[in-house]
This record gives sequence, structure tokens and C-alpha cells, in this order.
Amino acid sequence: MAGIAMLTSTAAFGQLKDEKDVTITMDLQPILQLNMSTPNQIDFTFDDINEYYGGITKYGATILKISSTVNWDLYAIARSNGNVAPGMWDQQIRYGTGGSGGATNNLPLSLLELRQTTANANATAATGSFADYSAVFPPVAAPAGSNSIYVDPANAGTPPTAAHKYIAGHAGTTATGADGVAGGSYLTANALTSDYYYSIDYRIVPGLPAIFPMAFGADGTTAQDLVAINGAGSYAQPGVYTMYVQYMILEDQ
Amino acid sequence: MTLLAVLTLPTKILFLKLHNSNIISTLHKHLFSALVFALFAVPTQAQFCDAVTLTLSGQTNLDFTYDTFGKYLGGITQNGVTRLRINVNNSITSNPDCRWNLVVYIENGSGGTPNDEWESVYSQSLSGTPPKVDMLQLRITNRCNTSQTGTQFFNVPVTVGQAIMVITNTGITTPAGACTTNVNGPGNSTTNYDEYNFDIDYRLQPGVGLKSGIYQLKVRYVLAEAI
Repeated sequence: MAGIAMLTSTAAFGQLKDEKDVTITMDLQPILQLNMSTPNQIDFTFDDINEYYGGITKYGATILKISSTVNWDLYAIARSNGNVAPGMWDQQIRYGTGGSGGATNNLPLSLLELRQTTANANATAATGSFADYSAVFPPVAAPAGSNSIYVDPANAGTPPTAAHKYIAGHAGTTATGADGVAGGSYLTANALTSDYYYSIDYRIVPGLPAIFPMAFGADGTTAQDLVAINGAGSYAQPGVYTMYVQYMILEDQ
Repeated sequence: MTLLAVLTLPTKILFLKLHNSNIISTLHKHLFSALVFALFAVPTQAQFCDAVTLTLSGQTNLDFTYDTFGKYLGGITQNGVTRLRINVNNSITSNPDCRWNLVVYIENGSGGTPNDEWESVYSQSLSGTPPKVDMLQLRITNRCNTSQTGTQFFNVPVTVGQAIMVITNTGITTPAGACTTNVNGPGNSTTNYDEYNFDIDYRLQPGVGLKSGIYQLKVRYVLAEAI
């Protein structure tokens, strides 16, 4: 055996070889872009009795266009400075003496209604009565919370839960498609009805008396009209009120 | 039992001495057969070339940073950032069978990484899919287009460790100066510039839906004598 080993090692030659290495580093930075086309201020001026009855609708007032390299969710949240109370519109000025008994400046943020033109196609994990804002605005005669904007009662900006409304995607990380939209862009989706393009309508219906019957809690089922939250005989105090809507896009997680 | 075998080359004289003579015939037959096999069947690989040298110039660390949506969709291409110079010499032996291979391998570093994925160095995300190895595109060219991989970008194999044959051993020597596909004879990057200098271009087009983070791959270039 020693002889065989000796023979083998003596007769074999090595293969000439030379090697060089290149290291490739790829840095994939997460990108979430929300392009929004909208007026800085959307004014609802109620100076006609018909506007109180039928409300005012602003069609396509906001266009949302999304580009994301990661899975994402999109939701709207109503916010204010809380100078009246958390979760209520800010009162900038009141007209005259502010009305007689029952007049209140305690107007819930949830009286604003939204409608998205493209339904949320990635929300099968939602558990609430309304997964998004895609329902048509309900008739004034039949108030419903299908379009009432999401409000964090504490005014802390807490995201909606699985029981609340999202424009796209939803709470949790069950699976892409169930509660998150896959990465993509309106630039390549090639359709105004894609998951990356939303036209948002706004509506406010004061009603008469002005109790804002379309105001509902975050679950979409608990009435928050002025009578429900302020008591019988309540109605909106004349004046100028402001609030703002935040559109939040975040990675699905 | 003691076996002594003495072997002298190249006369191939074999002396065997066995203390237990009653098994001489059997053992002698087997050992003789084994040693004859060793003499003539051992792969006596010849060293056909005198030297093969691979020189890499340019960057050995390539960074691809994706921080805009356009880069994700359009990709990033780094042209000519690696140049390989081939030098294969047989001036001493003048062996006509001196040929060479140029092979590329993709590696994804440490164990634990699936063989079809990039090695994750740092993860920034919980969602999305890890990038696949075959997302990497290479273009390996020289002026005579001798590369077997053609003149266009190609995706590397799906899994790591597979050979990408740039110049392969066909058993036929295509001499330097032929300026055709698979030139593999002796030559060097100075006198045979158009055939023995390879430019490497790299392209990565991630698209969307990948798990964000920092990833690495290693590209290994191997110049070897073709045997």
C-alpha cells in the first residue's frame, strides 16, 4: 500500500488555477411614497337650508397615489387640536351669542364622511362592520356609519384596528392580500382602479336640526350625532369649525 | 504477515517477499494486479501549461443602493467595474494541449442561507420576500466576443455554486489571434488584448415586494488549466 501511495503521489500533477473574488452588496432601502393632490383647505359652507338638509359633497377632492417597495397599509384618521375636547372639531369662532339653549360646539370629528372610489381589495382579515370607505354615501333619511371617518377617541393618532376602516390593507400581518397590499406603484399599475390610486369624496350632512346624523363611532355602528353625545335638544352652535384629515401609509407590520 | 513491495520506476521491476508461502500464489496475483493497475490506471494528470495567472483590476466591492422608486424599477447597472486579465503561458513545455477555462461561481457566504437567496447582512423589514440569487445579471465580454455567455446580460443560475462557463474546455485548442468564440490557447492580455481582457458588467433590477435590508453575494472568478 505504501508503494501504491508513493506511486500515486509521484505521478500526479496539480491543475494550475488562479482565482479572484468580487463582493456585491445590495442595500434595499424601504420606500413608501404617498402622493396627494388636494386643496389645502376644503371648505363646507352651510348658508342655504337645502345644504343643511342634503349636505355638501366634494367629489374627487383628494387623489391619493401610492408607490411602495414593501407591503403597505393606508388609512385615514380625523384629527384636531382639541381646543373644545379630544375627538371634537376645533371651534375657531362662534357667530353672535352662539345660539340659545341646546346649542353646542361639541361636534364629533366623525361627522365627516369619506368615500373611496376603489374598494379595499386587501382586507379579508378585517373583522368590523365596514372594512373601508367604498360604500356609497347612505341616504340622509337612513343614517349609517359606513362612511364615517375613523377617529381615535383619545386624539393620540392611534391606528385603526381590525374592527375599523382602512382605505387599503388592514391591521395585522396575516398575509399579503389579507391585510396588506403588495409593493407596487401607480406608475406601473396602469389603471385608475388599481390598489395604488384612490379618489376620495368628502361629505358633511348637518341635518335639521343640525345634529349631524351621519356621525358614528370607529366601529361604524355606534351613533355619535349631537343628541347621542350631548343629550336631547342639542344642535350645532353657529360658527367656524376646523379639523384635519391625516392619510397614513405604513409598512404592513 | 509482512509485505514488502519495492517499486522502481520507470523500469517497473517488482519484487515481492512473502513470509507465509502458502498464500503466495493468491496474494501475489492480487497485489500484482493492484500495483499494475496503480502503475497504468492512476490519473497521471499532465501539467500542460507552464503558468496561468488571473489578474483582477477595478473594484472588488460593489455597492448597489436602492433609495428611489426609479432605481427599484429601472435597476442599477455598473458597467466595466471589473476587468479580468488572462495570462496563460506554455513557452517552456510548448505543449500543444495547453488550454484554459474561465469559470464564474456565485456564492452566498455563510451557512444557513438558502442556496437560492442572497445572504442577509441586515434586515430592516418584516414583510416581503428575500431577494433571489438569480436576480443578479452579468455581462462578460471582450472585444472579440470570445465568451460563451454571449454579449448580452444574463441571469446567473438559480442556486449558488453552479459553474458559469465563460471559456470552456471543448477538447480543441482555439489559438490566440483567432478572434472567435472560446479562444482558449496560450496567450496573454498584452499581446492578445482583444481576447484575454474581459470586462464584467453587473446589473440588479429588484422590482418591488422584496424584503428591505442589506444583502451580499460573492462572485468568484476561476481561471484554470483545462485538463
